[in-house]
Amino acid sequence: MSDTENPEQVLNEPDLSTEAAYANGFEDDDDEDAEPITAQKVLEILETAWTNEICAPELLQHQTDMLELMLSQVAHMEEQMKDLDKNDFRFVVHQMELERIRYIMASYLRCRLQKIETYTQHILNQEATRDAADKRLSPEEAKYAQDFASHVDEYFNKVATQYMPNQQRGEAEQRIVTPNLMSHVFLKANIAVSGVIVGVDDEEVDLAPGSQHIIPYQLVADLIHKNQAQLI
Amino acid sequence: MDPATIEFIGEKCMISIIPNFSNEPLHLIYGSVGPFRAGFPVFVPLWLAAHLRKQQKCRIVPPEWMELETLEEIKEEEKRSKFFTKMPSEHYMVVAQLVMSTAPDDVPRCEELRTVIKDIFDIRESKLRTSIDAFIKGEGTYAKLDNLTLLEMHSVRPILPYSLDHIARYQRMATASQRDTSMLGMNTTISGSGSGSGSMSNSYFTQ
Amino acid sequence: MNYFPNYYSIEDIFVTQEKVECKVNTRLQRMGFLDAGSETEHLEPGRNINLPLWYIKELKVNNAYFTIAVPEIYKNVHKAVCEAETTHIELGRLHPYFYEFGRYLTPYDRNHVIGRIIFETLRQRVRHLLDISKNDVGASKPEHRLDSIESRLHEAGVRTNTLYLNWLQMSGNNIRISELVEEHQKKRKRAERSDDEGGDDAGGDSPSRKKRSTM
Repeated sequence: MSDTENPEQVLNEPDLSTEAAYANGFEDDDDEDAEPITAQKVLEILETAWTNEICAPELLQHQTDMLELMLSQVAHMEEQMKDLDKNDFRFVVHQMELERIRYIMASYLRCRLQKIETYTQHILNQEATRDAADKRLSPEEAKYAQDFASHVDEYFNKVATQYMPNQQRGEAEQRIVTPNLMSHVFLKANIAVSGVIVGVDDEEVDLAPGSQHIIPYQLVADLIHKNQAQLI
Repeated sequence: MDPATIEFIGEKCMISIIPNFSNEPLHLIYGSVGPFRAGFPVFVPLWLAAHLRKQQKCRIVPPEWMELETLEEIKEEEKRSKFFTKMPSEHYMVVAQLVMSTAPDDVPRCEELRTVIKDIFDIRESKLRTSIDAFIKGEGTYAKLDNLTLLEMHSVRPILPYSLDHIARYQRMATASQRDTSMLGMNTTISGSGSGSGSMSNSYFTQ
Repeated sequence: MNYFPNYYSIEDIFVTQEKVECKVNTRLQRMGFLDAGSETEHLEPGRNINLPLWYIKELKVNNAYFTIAVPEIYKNVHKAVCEAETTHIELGRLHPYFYEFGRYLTPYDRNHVIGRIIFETLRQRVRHLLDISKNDVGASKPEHRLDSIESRLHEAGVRTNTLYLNWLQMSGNNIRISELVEEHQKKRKRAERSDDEGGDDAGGDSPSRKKRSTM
């Protein structure tokens, strides 16, 4: 679809271009047979990632792929909208939707940055033990975390630790701030999950689809990871 | 999650409007809406409905359940039931609040509805508090909250999960120390020395 | 974020500043200065002294030097805990860090009372906390009734309720500048005022930006 086309037409038929764009986007991936994914689906995935991230005590898997797809979709939309009159009904509505999507993405990324800044060293240590495929930080976030950690270290050194006896500097381990993985979270099961351990005494419960629970995060962390349940 | 965020999420709900203009369908990323034909109802997301209503480009058609008799029934059912009943919309408060504040003229008996909906919310909230009480007294760390809506959860957030976190922390500490010291007791009997291996390590205190 | 002690937590530092009473078990050479009431050079067995928690918590439970005395406050609430009548206790008056202080002392209590007491006390008082934080909006803060953990919970509850009431009136709907920026602006204003009075230029402050783009 070329940019010279009449914007009205383009705005009216984005599904084709969208699906094509996503199919293309996924061809670069390992999985060549990946089904094309719609913009709507990408948005749903991001919305879930956003609420999960807000509610989870620890940093979750990054969503770089989905963010990139959505950013290009947003850019694509804006490109198509640029010839419309700013007071045009269509312009205003599309603009409103894009603002909503931008808000979700920004809030999601900001929430991750907050966790990175709070648990920097803990996250970096964990990241170091993970395989490339399981990394939780995006490359950009990894760099940010590294820089942040070294800036904080440098700052502490400048203002305090350099004036302290050596043994006081060796508290690196003690200084690591870790999240409380036993924090209670609100959970909604996406599908039926059987045999979820819900207590210290190995008490088991089956979760019905759509059922809601309050439970320590650690007991359900892998359900979130596998998208069998989501945080609300 | 504050009420503004919950509202934001609830604004995705679809609601019927009657536009006073006509337009081709709009292909939003979230899905297509329209076509709009003046005088004919069409489903749009709540955020769009609210916007169009403020621009006086439509009337909002209140959802079926936003009707006095239905809501009175729901209220009675909620009073009768031991559990949380399923609400007609998982964002009933947000929908009601947004529709009634942007388009009070579109909702017959708006003020009465407002009262009933508030009543329903209050009944459910106090039910929530009672069940929390029972749940905490029962030494639970896990509870089922089926049919509870986000805004209702908000009424005990974050105070409830935070309290549970602390209770769990102290419970772990109490049990761990009991276990650890009884092991220490065994060690001392065997070795006959006060400085056994069962002593507290520093890492024990890190929580 | 919920309170979860860590190395940088000021609150945790305050807690570990608290004094703990302990009995000296063995003669400690040239440690007499630790005992404010004694003039002797050495610390003699049988003396009771107060030591800060940050020191105590590094000691093994069965260390040869000190036996830690369980503070009276925990013994005193024992009866109330057993009778499940803890809501009326003025916890903040008993100890500002009733729970966290108790948590640190738990392993040192050979009778396993403290751990149980702090756990039960909070468990019994949560409903009450939920209720009072819903009912007193903003204004009155029950100063002496609550310890620091409870006080934080209470604040969180009051905040929730305020947000909800504002939302119901659709008054909290306008996007506000974040508290941080607000604080910063207040400081700037203060700084500017003191400038007028001939104070030092606060310097360094970048011009405040009221709004930032979303991304």
